[in-house]
Amino acid sequence: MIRRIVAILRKEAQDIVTNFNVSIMYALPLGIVVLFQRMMGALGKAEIASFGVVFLTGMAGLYVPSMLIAEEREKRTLEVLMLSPATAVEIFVGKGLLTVISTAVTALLIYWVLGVPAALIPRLLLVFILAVSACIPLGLIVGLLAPNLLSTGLVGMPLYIGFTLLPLLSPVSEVIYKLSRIAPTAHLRDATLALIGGEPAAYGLFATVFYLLVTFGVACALLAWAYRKRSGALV
Amino acid sequence: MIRVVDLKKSYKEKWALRGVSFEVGEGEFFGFLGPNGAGKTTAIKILTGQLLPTGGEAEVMGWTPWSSIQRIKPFVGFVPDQANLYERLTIQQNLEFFCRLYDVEFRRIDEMLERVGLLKEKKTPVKALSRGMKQRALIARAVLHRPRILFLDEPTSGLDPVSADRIHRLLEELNGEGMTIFLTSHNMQEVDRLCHRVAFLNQGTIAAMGEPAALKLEHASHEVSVLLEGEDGKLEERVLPLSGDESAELIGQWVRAGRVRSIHSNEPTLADIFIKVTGKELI
Repeated sequence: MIRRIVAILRKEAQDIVTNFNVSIMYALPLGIVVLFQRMMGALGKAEIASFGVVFLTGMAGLYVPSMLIAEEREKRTLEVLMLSPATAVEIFVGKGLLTVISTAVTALLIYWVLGVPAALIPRLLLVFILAVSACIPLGLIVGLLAPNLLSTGLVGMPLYIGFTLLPLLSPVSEVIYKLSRIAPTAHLRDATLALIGGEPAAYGLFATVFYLLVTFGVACALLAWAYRKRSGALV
Repeated sequence: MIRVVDLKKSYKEKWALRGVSFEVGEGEFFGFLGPNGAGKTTAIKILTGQLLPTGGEAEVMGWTPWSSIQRIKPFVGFVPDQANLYERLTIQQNLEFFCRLYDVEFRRIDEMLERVGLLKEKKTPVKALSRGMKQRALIARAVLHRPRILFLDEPTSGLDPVSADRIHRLLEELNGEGMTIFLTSHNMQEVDRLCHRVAFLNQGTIAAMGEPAALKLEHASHEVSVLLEGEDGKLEERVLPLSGDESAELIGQWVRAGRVRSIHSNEPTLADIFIKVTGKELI
């Protein structure tokens, strides 16, 4: 099992380097963080960092897995992959791991660009990885449901907007704040602001970690259900 | 190796397979011949565990494909009708990936690429390959792990005759080494050349099944065509019954007179037989 997961991870890493559509999902949040730092430095590194990682989670954490699966279905490479000894779990874990690792590296770059103290990185990274892990299964579901690669954006749009914009707009109104609580990215934002900016977080780090773990579990259960529903139509 | 009994598959109101039964023995080269929409791809997808049937039974190497696919996977190779390699990766990267999945040694890659004539192209991205090259790369991928059964879904569809012939020779070699091959096609010549036995599939049922030569004899008109040179130098064709004193006497006379330019028996092609048993053409 480990060997096959690593094989899938390795293949995805080779492919992602030459896939402009995917590469841009990582470059964009990083580029925006650099831009904000230069042009809107008064916002403060906590606010810019929280924006960057929330945007990264939405763009790469949700969109990339959906594109990876949708493209495999469209190009019919998923068909031969599922005929190989690799199981569906191994395929999803391999693709998910690729997203976790690549987004974590990008998040580290964001923290480094902003000069976030090294002592904060382990906790920031923990929360980030949990948040992106909670989003990946949802992105995979979008990829399973979308009729083709082009429509992943359309099918997943409510999710991308909800998970990216709601947390960022939560300070604007109480209603948006309450709605945003469902999204793992909202808790990621709170934790990032609290750790870097020293602001009081709504629930504290342990509560945030617990919530993200529960969200991850629920997302995996939804993925299993969606896969069973769609498995006949996947090949 | 493959046993199918009364296999059925419907997609809502439409029946793709209406109860087909056949067996394929070890080392056999078996062909499913039929027009588009006959149910060939559906049959192959059920046998490779990609689809659930509506009814009937099937066994591949003693296991039911849709419930025991993990047991079957190491022994089965599949070549789809359309190339589904990872286009941004090179041939080598594609094959290395599948070597890792199947736990096959990497030296097998060069060995297979040499056999399919793609060794020089191994570092070429798949998107830069021609259709024929992609099809050969698919076959290399499908046999990397030395499967015991190879399923091919219209492997030469859309290829030029030279590329198709190259693939045919490769498949003959693989079958000669003991690999059981299950092929679907709507190309009569391909099936005639390659298959030990063929089944005619039409609208989800098997209309006829047997060895190509036996099917031709069964449906032959038992006549012989003789091309004669007339006294004026013009050629004329005469068709005679294959047996009987009259035919023997006439043919003997013509041969003694030196008038015979060619003589051949009028066996039908598989396409002719298909039209005869189904009333439809192979398109």
